[in-house]
Amino acid sequence: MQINTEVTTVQKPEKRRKKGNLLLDMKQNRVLYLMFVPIAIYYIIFSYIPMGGIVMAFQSYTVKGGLFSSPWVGFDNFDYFFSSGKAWLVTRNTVIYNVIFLAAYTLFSLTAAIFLSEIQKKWFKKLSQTLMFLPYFISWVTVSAFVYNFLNYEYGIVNKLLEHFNMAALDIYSGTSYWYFLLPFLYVWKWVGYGSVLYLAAIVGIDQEIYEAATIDGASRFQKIMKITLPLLKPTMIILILLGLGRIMRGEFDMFYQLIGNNGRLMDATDIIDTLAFRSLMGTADFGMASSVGVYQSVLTLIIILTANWLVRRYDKDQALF
Amino acid sequence: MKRLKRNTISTLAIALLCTLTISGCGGNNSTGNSASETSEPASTNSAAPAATNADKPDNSKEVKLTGYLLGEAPKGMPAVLAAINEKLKQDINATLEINYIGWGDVASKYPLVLASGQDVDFIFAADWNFYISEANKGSFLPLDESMIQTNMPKYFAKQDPAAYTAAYVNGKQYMIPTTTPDRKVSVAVLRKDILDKSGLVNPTKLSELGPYFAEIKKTYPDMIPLNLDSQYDLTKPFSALASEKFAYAAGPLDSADPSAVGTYTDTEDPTGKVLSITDEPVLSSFKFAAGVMKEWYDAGYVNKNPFANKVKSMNNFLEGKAGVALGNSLDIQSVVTTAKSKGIETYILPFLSPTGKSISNSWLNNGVAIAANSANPERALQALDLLMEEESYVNLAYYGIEGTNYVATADGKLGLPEGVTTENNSYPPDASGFWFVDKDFGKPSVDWPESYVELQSKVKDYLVAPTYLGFTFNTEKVKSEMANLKTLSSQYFQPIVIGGVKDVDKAFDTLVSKMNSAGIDKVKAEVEVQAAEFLKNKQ
Repeated sequence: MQINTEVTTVQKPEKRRKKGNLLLDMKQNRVLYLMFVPIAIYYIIFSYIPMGGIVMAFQSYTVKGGLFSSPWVGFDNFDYFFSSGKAWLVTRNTVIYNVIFLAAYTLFSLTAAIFLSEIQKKWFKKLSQTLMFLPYFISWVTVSAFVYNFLNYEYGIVNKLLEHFNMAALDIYSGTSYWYFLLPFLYVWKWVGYGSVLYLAAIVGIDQEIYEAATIDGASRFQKIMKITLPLLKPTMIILILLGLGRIMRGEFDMFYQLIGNNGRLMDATDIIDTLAFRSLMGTADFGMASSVGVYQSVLTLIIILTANWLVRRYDKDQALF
Repeated sequence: MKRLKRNTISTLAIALLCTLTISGCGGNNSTGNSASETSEPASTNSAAPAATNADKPDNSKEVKLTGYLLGEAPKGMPAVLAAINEKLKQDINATLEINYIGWGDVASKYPLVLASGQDVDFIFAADWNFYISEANKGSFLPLDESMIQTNMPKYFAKQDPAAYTAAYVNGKQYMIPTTTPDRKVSVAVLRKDILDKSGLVNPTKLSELGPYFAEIKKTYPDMIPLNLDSQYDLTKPFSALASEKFAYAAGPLDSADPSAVGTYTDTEDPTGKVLSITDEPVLSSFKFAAGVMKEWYDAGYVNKNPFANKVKSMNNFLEGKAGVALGNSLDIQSVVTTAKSKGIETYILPFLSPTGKSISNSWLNNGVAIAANSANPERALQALDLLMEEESYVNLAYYGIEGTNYVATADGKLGLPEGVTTENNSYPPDASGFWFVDKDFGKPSVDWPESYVELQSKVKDYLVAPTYLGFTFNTEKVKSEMANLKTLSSQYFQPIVIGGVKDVDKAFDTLVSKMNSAGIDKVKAEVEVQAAEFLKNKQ
């Protein structure tokens, strides 16, 4: 990772000179550009073209009229969201949960990656990495079934165990307090394997000679982590956090919907923008109203990303996204 | 040479990029355009044969029709479809392809199938399944009587013209409603053995079942008396309890969604007064039902978190995990027959209004619509005429292949062939999603237990047409309010429904104040306008 950033910094002035002559640049680096083509196509098809759909949020969309001749309704589609009395609550919940998720995810992934890199026994390293990675492949639908079987009041494993030790059964699905802990826990459990791989890759990229030099100077293992690994991981961390911020207004819909579903008693604590919109519009299937929420989220996300990037730029120009 | 090769590669890459982009773009555009373009010729085409009424439609070109139904394809579907196609090919020179939209995806996938411009000719439609909203959006092809008369002669002869009017949305008919609206009542299936032990003799109301539940709790610790699932069962006990006090339609008048709140009406009130939740008899009946549910919930008769439970009580009943199977007189058929084969004797308790009645269903309860962008609407109508009203087709679509999935006994009943059981039948009756066929061709089964045969014979007498039979509220003008009501009902109404609230009165106060701020008054005013219009047309 570190090496990469250095390479780009070296190339930067060269690139600047050629600014304005994109075609020449493309010709000279056509293999690189060719490698870029698939991902460009992906983003054009799945991110740029659908952006045209934003107009839907301002239309009373009909199948017959399509995007081009459905009647315009101005901001009417946004009405239900802001008049639901929950717009502020769900926006707050979405942001708070995602900030907690992002912080916990970064912290645990980083710790796990450092621990993994310090393990000497190869088989043990592979085993723990695999075990950590496995939850990544399990969909939230399945997880919700696990969780239900663990925690449900009547047959749940947890309550059966408590019963065994003569303790009172927990009614987890009726109390909000448990979920403040459960949701971040499950999130970290599912994603930490994936995150640790990203950081581990960055750690592997660190020049071994630095460590060797430190060893010769008599640095302890802990000192090497604090003085070498962590500082050199900072660029990776900043990029991943910035990318994570891009998702901060998009709640982890699958997770909330599968785990909480329509459980009204938990809603004040667990309702996020996505679940609110889904619930309100399930019965009406109104495309315009549904996309209005998407637009709301996107606008907020844009503001957040621009702010975060601006802050990073102020602090360290090289590490900003743009 | 080398340079040439490089050039070729980059040209190819650019070409690839372009085609992909264009096809991506094109795909998007065609969604919008094809709908408007194809629907034009479709309607002119259909007008043409209508004008020359006497002429038989021209079927010289073979077509493939694509239909969408709800649920899941039974295992025996390919064989049955092949048999249907063989007949269809002969009769109208067409073949069918049937796709299914799974129950879990209906809300998201149903509108998508219609909006995406896929090949769809006909699709299941019902007032409880987005009929009005999709018709408003223009997803369905508007039909007129002459189209139906030309292409669906058998159906036209049988159908009551009032059904066409019932299907009107903004003055146009978009659906072909069934000729035989379901004759069904909501019921609870109980275990006769436990019922006898609890000392109850022929209970007629759900609220009387306390001792039955207590007996279950005492002697069957693994069984939850009311083991509700998150969707199907959730509101059933509450609705049944409320309907003990007034003729409650198990859902608001505006959305007919049992888990939502809105405006209500006493279905047996001929003047059809539109009621708020705070009006009598609604509020006291709801509070009564909520009180009973809370008592049961606190006593552990109801599962603590039905919202996370995805297994219907009908299935848990057969597994010995639920004391009550909730359903209606049609869909409990397989429950009672399976229970009989397992040696469990059942008692069926119908949920009735104080006068001992239940509402009959409207035509719109089951039906089928032609998609707006269907390429062959006339042929689809012809195929549907056969599927719905020709006995040999109905038997195939509804019961499967004779000899493989069913046998007809001498006395006109339905039996299972040698080696086939209710559980391993690859095409169980009613499971294929062809719910709109003419049910007058339906046959009783030899496997029905006595309790079910008795219920079937009584169902007809229970049913009475509600004042608003066939009324469906058009939400177009109060979309935001309806969306908000939907949201708040899951947070403030559904906990009441399962009995999981601390204080019933307080819970209702909160619910009412939330409904007021969500704009229930505006909805009620709109309902009153449309209801008055409906009653005026009815006379």
